[in-house]
Amino acid sequence: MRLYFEIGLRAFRRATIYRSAYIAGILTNAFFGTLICFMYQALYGSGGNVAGMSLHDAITYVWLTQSLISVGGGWMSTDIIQTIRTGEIANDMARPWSFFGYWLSRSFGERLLNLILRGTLTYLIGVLYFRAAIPSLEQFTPFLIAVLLSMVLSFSFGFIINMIAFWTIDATSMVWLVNTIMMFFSGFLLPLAFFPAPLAAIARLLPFQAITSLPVLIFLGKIEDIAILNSFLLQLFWIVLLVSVSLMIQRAAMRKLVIQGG
Amino acid sequence: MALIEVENVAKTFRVAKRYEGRFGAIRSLLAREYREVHAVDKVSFQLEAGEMVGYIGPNGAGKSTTIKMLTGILVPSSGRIMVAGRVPYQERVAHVRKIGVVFGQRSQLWWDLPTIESFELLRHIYKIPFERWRENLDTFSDILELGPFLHTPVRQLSLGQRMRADLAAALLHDPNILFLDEPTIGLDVVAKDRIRQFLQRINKERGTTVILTTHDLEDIERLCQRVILIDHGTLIYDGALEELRNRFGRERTVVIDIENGLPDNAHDWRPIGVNSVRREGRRFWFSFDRHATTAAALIGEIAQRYQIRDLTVEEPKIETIVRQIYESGSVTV
Ligand SMILES: Nc1ncnc2c1ncn2[C@@H]1O[C@H](COP(=O)(O)OP(=O)(O)O)[C@@H](O)[C@H]1O
Ligand SMILES: [Mg+2]
Repeated sequence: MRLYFEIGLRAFRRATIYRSAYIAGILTNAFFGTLICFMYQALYGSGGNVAGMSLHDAITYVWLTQSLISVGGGWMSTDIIQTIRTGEIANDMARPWSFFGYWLSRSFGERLLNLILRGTLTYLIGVLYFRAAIPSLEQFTPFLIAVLLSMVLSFSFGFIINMIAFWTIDATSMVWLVNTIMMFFSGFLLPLAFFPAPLAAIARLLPFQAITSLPVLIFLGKIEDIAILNSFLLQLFWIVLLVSVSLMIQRAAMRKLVIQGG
Repeated sequence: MALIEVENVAKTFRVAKRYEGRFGAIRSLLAREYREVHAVDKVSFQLEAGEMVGYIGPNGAGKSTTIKMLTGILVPSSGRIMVAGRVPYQERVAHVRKIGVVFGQRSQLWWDLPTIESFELLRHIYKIPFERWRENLDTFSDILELGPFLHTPVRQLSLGQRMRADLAAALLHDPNILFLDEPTIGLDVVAKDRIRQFLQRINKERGTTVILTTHDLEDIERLCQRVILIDHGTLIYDGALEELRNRFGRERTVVIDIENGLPDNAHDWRPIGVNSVRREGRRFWFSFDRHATTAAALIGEIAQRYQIRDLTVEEPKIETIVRQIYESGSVTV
């Protein structure tokens, strides 16, 4: 366990080095946040609710999703694919550790920094310029738990997709495709409440809404009391499922192992 | 039982055929025809504990592929590998705990963090007792002079510094076997020398078994009594370096730059023992048989005729030796 903590710690520290990337990231998120908020303001006009969401809810939703993007909300990295392509993976394979555990800790460390720094600063912009909601502690605590769960969930999903690179060396285009699907069905682009019924039904059957939509709805107070527990259970269900698949794929990949280059 | 046993090991890669031209990419995708690459082809050898062996061969010979199979990160297509009583890929974790690996072309250190951070992580990865870790780090810092850059991010290190740090990283957990894939590639003479001295000490003082691949014959000359030579995936020689040299590395070339004022018959003159002479402007290449004459005698003779400005003696390259072995038709020694 200590080892995985140390890996995560280093990933966290490593991420602190890229300050300009951080600022660029925050500005990008703020830009899109602002753009979508203007759109909602125009659409909502003088007021009212749309599918149970007020304008204030919608604005909070936008800034939250923008803040969570680098935590795993609507974006999947190709880090593992990169090491497969360059052959760097050879070093990671020659270690007495769990390959999955190594990448999970690494990714957790990075995402934690993203949550603390990039996420918080982005959201702060939303609070200052668009009056995005400041949650109560009762809303914030379950929200935080849900986000931590969603980090493991979105990592495992990304791990599975990345590992497919063992079979097809050009998996990057697939990641791109999957990212697009994930952005849509996770509720990152649009709240699931705004989806037409059939699409919403599909979204609820997929793991992606447990990554973005559930934590955000908890924050907004749309999921309350016992429903919060159910939502945790749903996240846990997906975690158990995706981690198991990850480990299975890992075992198959180890047998297959084609390492590039000399 | 030998420490490392390799028996009829082969590795075949299936590579998708690529089509050229318009729609080539699509055709490649649809047709999915494969070509087989026999990277390693029925190789057998054994290594005893404490040996330091050079695994040599030209580019693409199958050296890295062999190392990857020995370290357990590639599964052989056929044949049997046992290292310290284990099948590497089957007991990967137990196996890699006891070995050290350096892939010369890619670092195992965290690129963006100070070097020491990677060393500290290795302590946790291999569960090295703190005292032992400290002791090893001090020893290696001493010999390899790591001190000045322990707190520098790895990406800022020179290639030589990075290589030294990588070597230390591979040895902190006292592995029984050290696998080195091209540990001196791209390094200058001084850096190469320091690494060779270090390897010699580790092998002597700690009894670490070392297997290193290289296409630099000088590495082998300085370090190994035994060499294994492969080409196109097949083993073509396994034995003493001396023997290899005597049988196939007999040709040397003296390269000479002379001062102005060439005699007219410069083209025809051929000292005894010299097989061929080549000339470009003021530079001459005299290739000779080491058993027929010596470099000293030859240079003396040349000096009597011409005024020498500069000279070097060239050793045969691995490529040359491989070619000679094929030409002589002798594969087993
Ligand atoms: N992952 C791979 N896929 C396909 N062919 C490979 C792969 N790795 C190595 N090869 C091929 O196998 C042969 C041996 O490669 P390698 O072991 O890297 O040689 P060396 O290290 O001696 O230069 C080469 O022809 C190389 O192109
Ligand atoms: Mg190689």
